[in-house]
Amino acid sequence: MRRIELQEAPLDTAALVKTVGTKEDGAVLTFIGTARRGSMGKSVTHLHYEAYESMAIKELGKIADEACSRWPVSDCVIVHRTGTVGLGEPSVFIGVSTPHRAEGFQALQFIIDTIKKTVPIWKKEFFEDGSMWVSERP
Amino acid sequence: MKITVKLFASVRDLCGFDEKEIIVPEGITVEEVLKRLTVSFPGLGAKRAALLCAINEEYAPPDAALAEGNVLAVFPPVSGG
Repeated sequence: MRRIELQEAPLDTAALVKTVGTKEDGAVLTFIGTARRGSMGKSVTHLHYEAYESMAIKELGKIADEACSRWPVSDCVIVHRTGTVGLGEPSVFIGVSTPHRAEGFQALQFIIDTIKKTVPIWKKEFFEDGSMWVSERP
Repeated sequence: MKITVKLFASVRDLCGFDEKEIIVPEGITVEEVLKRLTVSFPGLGAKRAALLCAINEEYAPPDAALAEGNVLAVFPPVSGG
């Protein structure tokens, strides 16, 4: 099963975890990225995510394809937030299931590392005294 | 020919528009469109090396040629996750 989505609503990670895994799998691995307070010595109040949605879905699909071709992934669920994400809230959920754990860890790491390199989504950090796109950090 | 330029995130903020149709010569490359944008929006110059471009939702190198009706997206390095 594959599920790739962008959503503006908060992520229900507990519900998402339950959608991952088949009876052939011995491992369900999840990664939840969350909005962190600290950034470059400043205190973040919240984040804002913008996406080129149609292209982001395509790029996420390519990443899922590659993960499934390199490792025996049964289920692959990737859901990324758009819009405002509060501190501590999840911004991305990734879940994969595999027959054995080793390939699941590898697939999961590949997916999150590649998302950060290729998927057209941008994060803006908000502080008490302003905001800055992460791409524009000095 | 007519193409659509879409801008995102800091590039959109800098140029002040998110989508625009522009008339360009047949066969113009991504690099040449970026040069024209930089003339209108000099602030793009400093970012130029880091900018990413996509034609019809697929990443495109600077020497890629555009065709009538293409959608050229220009954006800063991605920062999802």
